[in-house]
Amino acid sequence: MATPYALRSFEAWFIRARPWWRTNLVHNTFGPLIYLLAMGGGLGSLVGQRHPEALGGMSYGEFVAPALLVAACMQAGVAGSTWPVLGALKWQRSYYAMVATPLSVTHIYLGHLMQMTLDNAVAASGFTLVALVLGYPTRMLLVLPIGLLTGVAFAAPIAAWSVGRRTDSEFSVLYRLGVIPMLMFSGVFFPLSSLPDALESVLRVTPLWQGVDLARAAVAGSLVTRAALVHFLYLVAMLVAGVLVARRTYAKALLP
Amino acid sequence: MTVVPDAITVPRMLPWSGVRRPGHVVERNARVYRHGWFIVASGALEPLTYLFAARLGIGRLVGSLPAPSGRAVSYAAFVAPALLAASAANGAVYDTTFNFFHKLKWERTYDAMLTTPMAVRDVALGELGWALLRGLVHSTLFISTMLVMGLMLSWWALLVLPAVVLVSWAFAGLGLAATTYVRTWQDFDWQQLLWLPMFLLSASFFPITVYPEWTRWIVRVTPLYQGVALLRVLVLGGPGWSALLHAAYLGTLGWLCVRHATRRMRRILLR
Repeated sequence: MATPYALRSFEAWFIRARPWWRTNLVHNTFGPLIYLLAMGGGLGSLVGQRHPEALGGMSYGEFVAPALLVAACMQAGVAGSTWPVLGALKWQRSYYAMVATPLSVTHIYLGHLMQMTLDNAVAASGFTLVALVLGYPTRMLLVLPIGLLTGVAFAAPIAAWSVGRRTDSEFSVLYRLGVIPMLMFSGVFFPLSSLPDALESVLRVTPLWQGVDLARAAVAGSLVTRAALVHFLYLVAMLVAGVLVARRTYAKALLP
Repeated sequence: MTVVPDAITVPRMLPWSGVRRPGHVVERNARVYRHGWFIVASGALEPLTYLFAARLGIGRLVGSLPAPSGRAVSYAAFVAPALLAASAANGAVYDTTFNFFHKLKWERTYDAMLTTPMAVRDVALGELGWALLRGLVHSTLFISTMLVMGLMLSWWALLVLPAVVLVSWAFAGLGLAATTYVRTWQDFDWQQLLWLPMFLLSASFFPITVYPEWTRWIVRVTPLYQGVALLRVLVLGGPGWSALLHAAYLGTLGWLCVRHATRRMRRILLR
């Protein structure tokens, strides 16, 4: 039986990504764990001594751990859908090699997206495992799929955008003006309610906040609410929109 | 045909060849970045984002913390000098690791330079000078923001600029020396493995007193901790002799690293 084309594309990406497994673990498992240690442990001990009631009875570590997992998945999603995408187009030219086979541009894109998600799954599982060993709640396991959804919800539209860039310098700007401010202000490290109202309502529509709030709801055991459904649909909509746009941008970049 | 003005103008005006020749490398890098100045400048935005997050969000959860002088300061004031040190280190490391490796092993820029009157030492010092300049650009915007936000609490803060250069010097030296051992791009994982714990755990975001006594010494010997401690004394006030010790550590480390890097580069480039 013939393997579906998107899976063949995935296999090709998988083989190409294999030598980078250590880099993936260092950046996407080890990095977030150090954040967990520094923020959950170091900063958390200060918060616990001074304002134990600030987070509604929750310890700072419990507050920050699910959000860090989601934020790590977002960062891996963005990293995977920027430089590697432009690299496959401009530097290694693997997109051109693939488009010369019976694969369509959509297959190439979907296969690449699957490989990014697999990478993300490996890294995020590593993080979750260590968090469980460190004594974080078992419900962290529920955060894993939420993180992966957030990651791919970022990767899908960003890959569609990246394939149309001329140089990689815009990626640094995306990070400095988009990713890092979102990471710092979307409720990962402190509750959104501590910000001024106007800023808070702006930040409630960022995609990272959807994932973070959904993850906290999962750990709190309140997944069956309207807010959680809205977050979920928001992320799915990003993914679908990304795929739809990518069909056009990939075709424009790759087909004559 | 367009007339290109004599490419090498500024360094030629320098009086002494020991400065003039490294000056060519600095000028070359500046010309390469001519169109990418926004990338260099926007590097300063990252620590600013952290600073605002500390002021608006995390500070509310933590409250005030003790400065080296013992007085209590706001969380943002406590974190700001640490972020400044980290940004000076980061700006210096970037150009002495990835870009340096690219030019050393891939683009073979230095092989080309060595066919001119340039010596290996000039190349190393030139890259170092450029890294210091970049570290300074990263830091200047941050320092201005600290001034505007009223986070410079001591008159020693006048020495912040030279201190920032000293931090960049130590890290640029470390970057050069370490990169001469890099074989593949994957080896840069080690940089991440060392930098992240240093950045997050070097008493940057919380006082060193949260650690048990025996681990404090591990933190104290890291170069970033020394940089953070130096800038914290200068910005928030504290015992002057400790600032001298931190400065001596950073100066010596940078000097040893540059010497070693030059030796290693000679072996790689002049085999």
